[in-house]
Amino acid sequence: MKSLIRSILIKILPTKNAYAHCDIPCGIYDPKPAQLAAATVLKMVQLIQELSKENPTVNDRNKFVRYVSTKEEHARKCKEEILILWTDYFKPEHLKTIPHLHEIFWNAAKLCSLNKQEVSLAHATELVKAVDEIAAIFQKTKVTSKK
Amino acid sequence: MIPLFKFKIKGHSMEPTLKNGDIVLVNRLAYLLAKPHMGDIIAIKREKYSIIKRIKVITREKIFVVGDNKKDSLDSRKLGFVNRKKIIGKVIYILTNNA
Repeated sequence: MKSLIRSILIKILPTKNAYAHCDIPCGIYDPKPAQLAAATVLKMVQLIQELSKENPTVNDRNKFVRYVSTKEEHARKCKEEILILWTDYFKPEHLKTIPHLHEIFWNAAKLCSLNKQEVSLAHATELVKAVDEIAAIFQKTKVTSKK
Repeated sequence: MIPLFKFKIKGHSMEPTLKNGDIVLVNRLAYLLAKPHMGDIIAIKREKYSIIKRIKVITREKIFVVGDNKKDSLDSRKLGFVNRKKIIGKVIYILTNNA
């Protein structure tokens, strides 16, 4: 019954936006945090792969846990930053000049999840490239909007 | 006329309670007979948009509101007290949780 009322309300009520970002909205967006997070994920994958696989010491195990934890945290952060740019910064009018915009973001977000699930140098490198591509597009739109 | 509004949260200043993308139900008539209480989450009207905050302090005419994510929230700590007349309503339910 509760879920029925909930779904009816979701359908019938019009949705408005309520800002809880910087609340202005401040309009301050930057792909740099996503780039740093992606670079950290790549570094962690490299460090994990460099760890001794045979007869690991207690210190090696400690490092392993820390590297995995940092990789997880930064992959999450990267996804969060990407989603902020996607949903808050980019607007439908950007699709006119970048028709594959959604695909780029969708793939980058998926790569964040893949990097949480795996320790893969290939996927970590792909993530860095994907975020760099987003940063390049972001800069391009900034330059265009200034003209 | 339904006295309810549906708001989609945009941003992170109310985390962990409300996340970016969550949809909440706001009762416009919540304060028709009752007074706002400290701790209530409310929607407030600003010039061209609405914001969601939690009431921290209440005076006779004004309220002091803050975001739950105090590290990333621009609120009464910087903007000052908000006139009670600016309250749109009280958040009474989280319809979809984006967790």
